[in-house]
Amino acid sequence: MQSQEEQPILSIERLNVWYGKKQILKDLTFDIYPKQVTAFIGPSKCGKTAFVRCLNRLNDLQHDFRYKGNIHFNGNDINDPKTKSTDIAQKIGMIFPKPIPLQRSIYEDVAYSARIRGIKQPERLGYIVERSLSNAQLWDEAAENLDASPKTLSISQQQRLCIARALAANPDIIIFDEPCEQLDAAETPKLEAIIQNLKSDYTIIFVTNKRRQAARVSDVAGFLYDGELVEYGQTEEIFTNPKDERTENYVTGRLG
Amino acid sequence: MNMSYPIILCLTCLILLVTLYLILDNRHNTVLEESDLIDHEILTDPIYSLQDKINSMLPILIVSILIGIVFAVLLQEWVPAESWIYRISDFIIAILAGIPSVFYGLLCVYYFLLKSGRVSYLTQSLTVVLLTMPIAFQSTQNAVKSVDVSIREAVYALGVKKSKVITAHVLPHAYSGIMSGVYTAVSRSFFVAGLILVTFTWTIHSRASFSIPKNASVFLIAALLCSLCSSLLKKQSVNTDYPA
Repeated sequence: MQSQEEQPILSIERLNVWYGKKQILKDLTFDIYPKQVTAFIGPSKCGKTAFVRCLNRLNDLQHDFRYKGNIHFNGNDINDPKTKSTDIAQKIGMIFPKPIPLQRSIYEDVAYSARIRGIKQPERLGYIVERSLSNAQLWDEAAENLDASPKTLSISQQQRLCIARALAANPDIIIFDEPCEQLDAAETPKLEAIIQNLKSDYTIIFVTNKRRQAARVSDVAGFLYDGELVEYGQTEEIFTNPKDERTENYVTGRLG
Repeated sequence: MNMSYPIILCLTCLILLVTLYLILDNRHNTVLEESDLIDHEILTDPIYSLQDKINSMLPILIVSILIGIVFAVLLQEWVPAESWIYRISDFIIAILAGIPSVFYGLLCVYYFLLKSGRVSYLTQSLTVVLLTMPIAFQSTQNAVKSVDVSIREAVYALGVKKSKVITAHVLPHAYSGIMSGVYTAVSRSFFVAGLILVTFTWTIHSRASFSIPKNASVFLIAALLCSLCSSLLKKQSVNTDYPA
């Protein structure tokens, strides 16, 4: 589908997912290529979040989760019993709709995910914290009070703190699961700018139910409807010249 | 949960029968003499007995509450909610926690003190365990269950090991809930000790026979039934909620 020569970073083959008896995803097969923003759009409850949770094995927490099919990450099957789920989660970071600070201070919160990787030297930790915070565009606002509690930050700043924390874990892929859901409309452009900047170093998977946002941010887009991947291709193509009727209805606002 | 209804009925009937047997059984309706009780100083010298009781029962109290907490965390975090181990332990604990505390005291007194004339260390310990363990278990379970899923997910998504997630993030968030359970459990055991002490001191001093009057038994059975129903229904309403 893609004209790139590159190897896909993630390749999904015939992925079927059930929660209990309900089938959430039906027979997804596609590849995700590195260093670009891949957006998944679709009405709510269409399986977008369920899909991205398969990638970092967060679905393992769901006791009635079942799956069939393969997901290969850099050529390795991520559901292989020999693959540690903690390794996968470190390589595939995730930003949630609601920011959750985990530690008492901003510094500790960002350093936490670097510590999980086994980094202990204070100088290296300091460097990683500074770099992650600047990549998340929070360094200018938080540099002076790194010891303050993350709860003192605004929701938008907390979300950026979560991005910094995910970056400090040194992932290959970052999943953004509706990251702007709790934010003000005025704060959204800042977050979109961060995503555009991160694109050069990381593979971004972006889940949203705002079609305009997907059109602005992404390079490649997939339209999920009722667990099926209806259409997958260049964002421009999907938004200007959709092949499927359902995609056209969704993109133009007649559906969902 | 529909499989548990017959079990609930059977168990309730069983407990009712045992209670009725105890109440209507008049074989022990003998007048208590102070000499009947080998360690009667427990009842007659409150200061001595208090010191003694606390010294001997405090370790048991602490251990049984700790067992309740650890068991609850292990069950809640590592055993899937639909497995039979989870269901059965959950159910038994709900029954044990649902029985009013005074029944444990009365059972202990009736069966062990009056039958053998002395309270053995094992009997006392068992009573303390039955009184405190289920309460500590239930409140820990609820506290752990009510920790926001998004916190767990945020930590798991960073690649933290499960044991670390629980010790470093889930338990600190559940701390106040667990501690509230600990205090409830301790108060329950102290309450029963005080109640039994009052009753027995009075019985011995008035040289009356120790038996439960018929009208009191009606109240006790009603209390037992209501308390059991409350505990089991609470369990069901908790079990039916489904993670989104």
